[in-house]
Amino acid sequence: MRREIVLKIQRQERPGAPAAWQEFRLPYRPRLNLIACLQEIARRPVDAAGRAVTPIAYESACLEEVCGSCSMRVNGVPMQACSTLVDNLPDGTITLEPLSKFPLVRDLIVDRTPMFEGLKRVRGWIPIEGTYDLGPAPRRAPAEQGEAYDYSRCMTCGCCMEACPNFSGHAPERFVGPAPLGQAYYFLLNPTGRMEEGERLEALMGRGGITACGNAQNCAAVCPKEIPLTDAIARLNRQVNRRWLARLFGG
Amino acid sequence: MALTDQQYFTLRRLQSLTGVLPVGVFLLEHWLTNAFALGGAAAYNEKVDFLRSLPYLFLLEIFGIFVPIAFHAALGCWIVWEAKFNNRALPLRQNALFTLQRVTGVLLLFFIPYHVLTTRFAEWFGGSTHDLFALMQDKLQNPLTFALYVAGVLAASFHFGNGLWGFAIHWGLLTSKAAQRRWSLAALLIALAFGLTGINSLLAFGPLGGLSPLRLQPAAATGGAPHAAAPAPSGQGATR
Ligand code: HEM
Ligand code: FES
Repeated sequence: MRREIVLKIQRQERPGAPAAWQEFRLPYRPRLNLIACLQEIARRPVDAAGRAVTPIAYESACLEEVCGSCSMRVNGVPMQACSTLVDNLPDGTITLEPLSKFPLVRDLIVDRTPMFEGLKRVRGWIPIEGTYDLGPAPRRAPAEQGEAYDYSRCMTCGCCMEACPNFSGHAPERFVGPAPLGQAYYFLLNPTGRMEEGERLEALMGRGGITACGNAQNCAAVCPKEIPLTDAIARLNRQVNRRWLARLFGG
Repeated sequence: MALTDQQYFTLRRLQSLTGVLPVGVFLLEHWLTNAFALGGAAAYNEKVDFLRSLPYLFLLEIFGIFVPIAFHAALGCWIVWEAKFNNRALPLRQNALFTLQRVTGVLLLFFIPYHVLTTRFAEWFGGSTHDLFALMQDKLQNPLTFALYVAGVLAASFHFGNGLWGFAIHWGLLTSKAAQRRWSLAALLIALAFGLTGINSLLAFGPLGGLSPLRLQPAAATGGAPHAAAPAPSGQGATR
């Protein structure tokens, strides 16, 4: 049983500045989540040695694991700080570090732009607007809706991207990463999205596209929303291969 | 070197394909040929002579083995180089296999040239490849060399077996978690089978000999075969 909560947090004032650890001690209370701990520190920003420090910069918004902004590395593993309870972590010091695969902004805040650029790359959207009324969307089989629902829960938190050994937001051209791949699959499941199948698959087949996945499968293991990202990747593999073979032998 | 997107896709898929075809198929052939060492020097050398007598051997060696391995390995190195391993933070099974696939690849990158230069091209270094069984027997007497070969055999076995699993995903054959889990076990069993039979063949060159379900008539192996009159060390293994 914990009697106090010891947090070891990586601090960095700005991009390029040296990183350093700071320790904080909080009295234990049951059912605290990590954002609540950070709020407590913000109220009284004094480190374990009694020195006054600048408050820790971190991001959070929804506090209920739907916005995806509070991702950080907790004891080295990427997860949401708002839905991670201290009670569920092993006893002992809890380390908090920013995601390492994205450019650092300050302390625990990173810039997740490379992931959003990746979404653009795979056309992670459905065009629903025209210069005229496009009419209602086609009806969908319930089974397909059910499958799509899993992928609709993605909140672009970036945990899968952090966990993937082949992705780095510092060199995003090498691999677009699992989150955009999951969304590409999601939009290919949608009947309206399928109208852009060719463009989307071509985007996936380029440099740093789906072929750069090495099947480490960490993405699905760390996803806080339990999205079956590896299923999406495997099924996309089938689709891009079919397209490639069709072109090789047919067109 | 600017690649178009289509060329990039083709290169990556060829890296995957060459691992199985032809390199993986060659590995299977290589394991089978080596298993003839269980039948002794004569049986082994007879198979080696048969391979050496194949028509278009030169073309087979260049385009069926060397070029595909070199291509697979060159792209493989690039793939390894771009990865950022995180097994300490995420000690997960599939993540460990991911890293092992790359570690064994790099190990093979050193082992295969060493192995080929000291066997196929042993003559360049003053050796004789006339009696390959004797050559291997002689080399494997050194415990260090033997250990190196065990490492090479295990690395190739794992890399190929686990590679089949990755191959099945990259080619869209395994499209669900359940199927992937099922076949991951099968792939590792294939790796295990390659590992055990590979080491068994290594043992066949040594004083103890391998465990042989194939060694039907060990004594017969010494008579009538073209290399029966080979120098001293080769006699032992044959009659075990
Ligand atoms: C005995 C020789 C070899 C055989 C039979 C072999 C076989 C294979 C197979 C079947 C795959 C799976 C393909 C896939 O994942 O789609 C593979 C993947 C791989 N091989 Fe090899 N390989 C050999 C040598 C090498 C060497 C020398 C390297 C050099 C580093 C290497 C590096 C790799 C890498 C990095 C992968 C992973 C590719 C990916 O996940 O995209 N391999 N190999
Ligand atoms: S604050 Fe929204 S996911 Fe944690």
